[in-house]
Amino acid sequence: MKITKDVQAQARRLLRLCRGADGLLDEERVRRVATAVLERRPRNGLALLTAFTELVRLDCEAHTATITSAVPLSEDEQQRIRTKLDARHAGLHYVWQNDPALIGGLSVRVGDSVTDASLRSRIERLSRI
Amino acid sequence: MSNIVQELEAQIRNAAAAAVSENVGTIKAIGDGVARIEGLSNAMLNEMIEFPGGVMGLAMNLEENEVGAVLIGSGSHLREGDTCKTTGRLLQVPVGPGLLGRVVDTLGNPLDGKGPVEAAAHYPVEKIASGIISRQGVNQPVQTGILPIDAMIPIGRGQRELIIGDRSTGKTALAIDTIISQARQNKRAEEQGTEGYRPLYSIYVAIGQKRANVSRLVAKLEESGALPYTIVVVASASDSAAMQYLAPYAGCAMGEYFMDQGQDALIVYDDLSKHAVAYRQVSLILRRPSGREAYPGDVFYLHSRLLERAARINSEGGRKGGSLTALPVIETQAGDVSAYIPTNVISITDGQIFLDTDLFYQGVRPAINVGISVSRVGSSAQTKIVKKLAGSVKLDLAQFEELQAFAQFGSDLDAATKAKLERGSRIVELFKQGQYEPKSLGIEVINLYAIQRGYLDDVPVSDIRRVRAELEEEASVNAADLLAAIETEKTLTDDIDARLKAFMTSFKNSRKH
Repeated sequence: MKITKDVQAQARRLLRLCRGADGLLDEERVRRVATAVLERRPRNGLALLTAFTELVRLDCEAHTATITSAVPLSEDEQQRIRTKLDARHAGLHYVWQNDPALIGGLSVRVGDSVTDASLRSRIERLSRI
Repeated sequence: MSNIVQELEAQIRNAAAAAVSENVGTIKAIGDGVARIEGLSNAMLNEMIEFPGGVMGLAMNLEENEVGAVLIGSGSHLREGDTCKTTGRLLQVPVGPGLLGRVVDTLGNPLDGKGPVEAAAHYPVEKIASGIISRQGVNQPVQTGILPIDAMIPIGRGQRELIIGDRSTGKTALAIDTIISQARQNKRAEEQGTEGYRPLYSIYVAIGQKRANVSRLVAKLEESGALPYTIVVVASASDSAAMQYLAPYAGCAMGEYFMDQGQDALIVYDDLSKHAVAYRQVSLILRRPSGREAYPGDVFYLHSRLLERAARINSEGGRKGGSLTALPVIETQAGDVSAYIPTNVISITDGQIFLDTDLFYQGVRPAINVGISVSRVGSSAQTKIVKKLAGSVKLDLAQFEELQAFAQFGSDLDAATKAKLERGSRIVELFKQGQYEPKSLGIEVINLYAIQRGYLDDVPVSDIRRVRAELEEEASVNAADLLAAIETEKTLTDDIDARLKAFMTSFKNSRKH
């Protein structure tokens, strides 16, 4: 199964069709596209679905906010972070993690940009001077 | 000192800042010195990417969801799934006079065990060449000290002259002799305190060569006292292809520093065939489409942007009027100059010096094939006295080569043809020159004067080199003031003409007795 240029372009077109008016992926539409491809079995259907899944995965990752903190955050703190991030990015999913190795503070990753405000990273930066 | 304290304080302030934003990516695949990275959506072309363990990479392919980066240095500890981040910086190398006399790698790290390199500044490796307005024509000579080159294929400061030939025909020897010659001239001018002398610093970039060869070459430069005026940049055969690909650009950045300071520099790229091969390897591993001989489509631009950075800058509008002369070296296969890379580089440069295997084994060394060697801009920079004396040498030699082919068939030749043959064979003999023996301008002039004015016509061809050695010794011992006058005047004035004549006559007379 080879993902050719044509298949890649088709997958991209399908992904575009799955976006709502706000430019975000609509879960319902994604499901419908997947079922339709499986039912109709077009030429290179499997490759198309693989490419499509990959694109959906990348899109999901770009809209995932992973917040890692040294200590568990309270409901109120989480809400404050949510409000701030939602103002900047639309359609975020939140993942909350704990990592005592951070020592203190927290690190926020949205898609592939990381804002690191942990004590560990500050110490690391100091050690590099 | 207070500057350093302030800098440190600023760095500490930065490091202590509450939060930093970074653009990160995940390694999807790694191997052969190339990493494919997912993420890094803000990466820029040729930006440095930082991998765990301080290893750096260079973002060379920017695709929809992926970045292809070549690793600079060893990436054996990197694994799939490792995180890397953008740095917002371009690859830079240390530059400055502190590098003279040093042997460094592509990134400017010392390889000679003489301690850390003192950098005056850091220059980006890739830089757009200076524009049209800032340039001026080539008008100062590079005295290579190799008689046939200075007489027939003169090189000017800011010129790009290709040295091309088969393996072991003396390409590197020619470049090294030029470097040694520059060092000697620099040293002499320093000792005599010559006013208005512009020193010419050399940079030797070894690309894909054996380390043993490089080490021998460095030893030779040191022995001949040329190392203090030379920077040696080494990306040997055992370094990664990425390092070999970047080495000429790094060397060029070091040369550009001198040019920007209003000084002159000479850079030798030894050799660009191996450079093209290294770049082909990087490109193929990055899965760029390949073209003729599997070289990527931008292999012409690879060399043209490098050689375009050699320039002669004018001194208007705050510019300081420096120059960077480039001597790229290309190795041909079985004398085939019409192969892909040789034709590319021939068309980019301002002329070429073609070294011939046949000539080399006939004992004509340096084995310069005068027929197809040219210098397109250098003649305007040629020293006046040499130009005057060598004006017809190239023609004489060309006629000689043509007649020589005919003379093999017939024994009855008219007097004029015979004279041309005699003169030609003497010129060929006179132009033979040992390795590591570059000649000073004065000696070159005496040689040319002797042949042009017919003082060597009665010397048997087999004796020419012995007589020339005597002549040179006589000149340096007894006519030092004449040599000095030639070096300062640089033109064939009536006075110098008369003194040369007197010297030659007395030399001839002394030989008769």
